[in-house]
Amino acid sequence: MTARGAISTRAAAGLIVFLALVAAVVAVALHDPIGRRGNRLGRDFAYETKDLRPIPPDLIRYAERAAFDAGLAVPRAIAVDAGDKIYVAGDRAVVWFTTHGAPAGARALDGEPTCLAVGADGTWHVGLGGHVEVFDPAGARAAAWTPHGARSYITAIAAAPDAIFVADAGERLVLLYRPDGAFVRPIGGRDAARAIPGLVVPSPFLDLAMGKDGLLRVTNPGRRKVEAYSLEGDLCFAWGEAGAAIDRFCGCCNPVHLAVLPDGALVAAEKGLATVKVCEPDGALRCVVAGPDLLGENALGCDVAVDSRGRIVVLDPAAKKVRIFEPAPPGGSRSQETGSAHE
Amino acid sequence: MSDHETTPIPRRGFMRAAARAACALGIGGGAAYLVAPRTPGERVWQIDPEKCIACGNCATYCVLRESAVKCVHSFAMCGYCELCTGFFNPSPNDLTTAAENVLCPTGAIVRRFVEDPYFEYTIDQNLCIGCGKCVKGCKMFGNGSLYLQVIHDRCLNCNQCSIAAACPSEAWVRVPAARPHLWKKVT
Repeated sequence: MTARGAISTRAAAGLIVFLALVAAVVAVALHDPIGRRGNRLGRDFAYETKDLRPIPPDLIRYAERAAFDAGLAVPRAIAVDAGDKIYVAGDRAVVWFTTHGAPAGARALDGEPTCLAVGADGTWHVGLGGHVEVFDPAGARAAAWTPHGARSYITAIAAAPDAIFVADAGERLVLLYRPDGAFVRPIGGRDAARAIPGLVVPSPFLDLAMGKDGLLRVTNPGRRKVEAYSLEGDLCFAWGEAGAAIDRFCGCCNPVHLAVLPDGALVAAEKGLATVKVCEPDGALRCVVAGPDLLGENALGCDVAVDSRGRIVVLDPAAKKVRIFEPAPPGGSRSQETGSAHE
Repeated sequence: MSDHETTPIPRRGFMRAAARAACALGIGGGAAYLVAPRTPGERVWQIDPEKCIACGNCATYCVLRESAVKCVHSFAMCGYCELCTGFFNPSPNDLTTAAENVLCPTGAIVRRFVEDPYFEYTIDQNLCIGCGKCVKGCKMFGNGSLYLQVIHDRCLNCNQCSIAAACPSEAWVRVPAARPHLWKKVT
């Protein structure tokens, strides 16, 4: 072999070794056994929601003035009494706070609460899965009502002076009771003769609130509507459209929670792209209280209540916090004043 | 020389026959292991639906060309929604099965009218690649009746599962082979 041939053989071998090293380095760099680079699927496979619900800043006319820990692992329901004391149910207990958010008491329950209402006389009605339990203002158990049906699952209660309305998501009905627990009639069941299409409840969210006009407002989440019923069970009117726009109800089943402001406007809470907004009694959007930028994307839904001063009290189950909102000039929903309410 | 006198087997021939027997035993044993029903003590891979975040890694990190992970549907939990957010885009133009309205990129979900206003949704597992896009939609807006599970007639049950290693939420767990699924329940 000539000297030139030996050199070119050596150069070729060196090149091969070099290419092998480069290939090894590239292979090591591209090797991703722990999924750091994600799924490498295309855009068609991404579930995008971040631009789905833009909220114009001038529509946000509430600011969060206080927030405090609910002190529960799984907070489920919130209510405010006539004295503006705030009650939160969850973790087989009801806990209550002063209007400023300072802990004021707690009472253990025999089961997992699903909803809570506090009447004008201070009586509590607590939904415990399929039945309702009644407690006097001191927290002593006064009665336990029998479940209405085999599938009963109580998700909301509204207490009026002469009537107790119970939302039964399992039976897809609103149940009207007398305060002593006597059942009066179902409301909201499908009835072609009375032009009632029926409540559609795909997930365990059915809420109601007594309107200032004397009509009961009931969510119909599967139809993305709020319906107004007379106490006789007649459907008076309904409003709501499906869609991601802020003046509509998004997803498969919204709104999930309702409350009524002192002027008769409705506070409606949506899950998914968690949003709390205020609508006129006829359904026109008045303003937004808080959107997904504050409440996040969650499938739980924020229960809402209103106190005597018109403050909107929101239970944020993802953050396990109670958030208190007050009217504010148009802008963001998170105020600089936000902090522990009882500090 | 008597008739019963046998000729000695050559050492090489004996070794060859022994090797053949060992190979046959190994192949037969392996095949029997693969086809035999799992004993109660054995464990297989499964996805804990409560931990799964439907990140999409199951579709691309499986050693199989088509992942062993597929979407399954808990009919007992399903709301049979007219506007199913596992089936439709988050903001559909219309509630029809036109491609522009439908969420699944592979068309693996079949929508069937039941009665007003209810629809039934079923997964065509031949088309599902386990990307989890429908799982995200159902979990975010609905009640999570669509979720991912390892399909055991496809899974090779590797000791070191490559999807488990790439799972960001540590949702992959070993479960008894006698109860190989983690079904969601109505609570």
